Amino acid sequence: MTLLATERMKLFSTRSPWFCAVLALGMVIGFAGLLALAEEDSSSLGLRETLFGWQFGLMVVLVMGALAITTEYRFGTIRTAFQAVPNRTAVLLAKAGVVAALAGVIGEVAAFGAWGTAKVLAPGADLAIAGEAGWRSVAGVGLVFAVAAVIAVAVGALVRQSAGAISILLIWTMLLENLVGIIPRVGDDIQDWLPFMAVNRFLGNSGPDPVMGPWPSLAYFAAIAAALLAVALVVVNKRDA
Amino acid sequence: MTLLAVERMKLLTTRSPWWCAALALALTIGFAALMAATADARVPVTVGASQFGYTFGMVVVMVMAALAITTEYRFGTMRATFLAAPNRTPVLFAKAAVVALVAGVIGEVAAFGSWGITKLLAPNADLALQTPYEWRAVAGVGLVYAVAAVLAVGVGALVRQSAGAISILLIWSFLVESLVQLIPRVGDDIHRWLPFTMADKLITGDPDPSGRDVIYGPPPSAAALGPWPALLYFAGVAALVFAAAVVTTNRRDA
Repeated sequence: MTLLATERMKLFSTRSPWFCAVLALGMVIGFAGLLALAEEDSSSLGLRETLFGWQFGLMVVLVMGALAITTEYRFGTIRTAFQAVPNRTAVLLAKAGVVAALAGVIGEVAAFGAWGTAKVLAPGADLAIAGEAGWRSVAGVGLVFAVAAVIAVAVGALVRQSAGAISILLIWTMLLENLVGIIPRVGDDIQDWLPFMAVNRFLGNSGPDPVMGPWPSLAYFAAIAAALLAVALVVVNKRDA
Repeated sequence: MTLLAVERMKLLTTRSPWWCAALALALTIGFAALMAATADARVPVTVGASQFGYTFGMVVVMVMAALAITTEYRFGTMRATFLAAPNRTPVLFAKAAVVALVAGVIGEVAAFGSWGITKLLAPNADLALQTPYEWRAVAGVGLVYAVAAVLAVGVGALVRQSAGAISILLIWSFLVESLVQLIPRVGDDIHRWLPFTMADKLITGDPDPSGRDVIYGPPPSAAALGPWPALLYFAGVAALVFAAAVVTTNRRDA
């Protein structure tokens, strides 16, 4: 519990998480507002459209998660942390837990905020959150952000440099996963198994004939995050801080 | 000239530019090899298709260029630099010039390397560089990289933090520019005038109508201008950001 409290203090007493949280909320909710305002015929605005901005939030959350650990290496505080608590696994798990919880809260606030903003700005649109699919696409954003934050912490712990970790995360999510689909013959099959494509399936943006359902897709995404975190734990334990 | 030499030494004696250059070449050429090796009759290899990976290279080059300036602030060498050369404007110009030159060379090597490996792996494909479109698609990559590097140095000088500068550059070029299209009514019109859409136009735009099918290359850019004016527009945006960086750097404490 002390570790969780320590990590919570570290996170909330630095400026970058606040900055990232505000930016994530502003981008997701702002984009929903923009879409609602620009839509002439508000009845054509659907629930899914109001959440188009979630990708912006995801990027910012990835950056936040990576910075939470790379800045510790940057300023040398990781040495102090590991001296105070020689059990590095516990430290890293606490950090991942706290960052994931914050990311989850950001995701829920962003998603429901975007939905609410669109509802206020486009009162004529049918924005009822209906059924399991509707709730999944709104409330699921927080789950996705939480798991993504774990991935970011793992990559950050492996790379230990802000620039490198952020570049890897952003290039992977935005560029690599999309460009893989271009490869002739095998591209689409590879794409089916990429982690952030699984996120798309979970939030309800899957194409026809998906390779697995929404909840298995989230489980797959979480399994990849767990695997990366496990690798990071092994490496951090073996290596000098 | 001294400044240019200084910046060249700074850049080439640190590890990150070498890393970035190797990564940019590996990603672009590797992707071209992957495309060529997996091609079949339905998706024939073309000159355009050999350049699919150029966006990979561009982001790595932008990361390199941003790091070239943010690491100076990170390690405090910026203060030493400005003490040695109190006129800050030439310092920034020299840095931007050296970084742009390196980026341009990386771009040309990446583009012709991608084209060459495609030729090697798909010897029967028609990969002759004949039309202006094909020349732009290959040789234009270096130009786009060079301009993008200037833009990245500008953003790096404005933000002064690696994490912030890299996040801004990558989110802007990948996500903002494509998600803007989702805005109803005005989205497409805004998209047509965004800088990286314009940069894409030089590589993917205006294929020779008498030539081969374009659908086998990277998706054509929707930019509002022709290929060369589009590059000028991109360069104009880069110049504006860089000018803002020069003004800010001169007014602010280092």
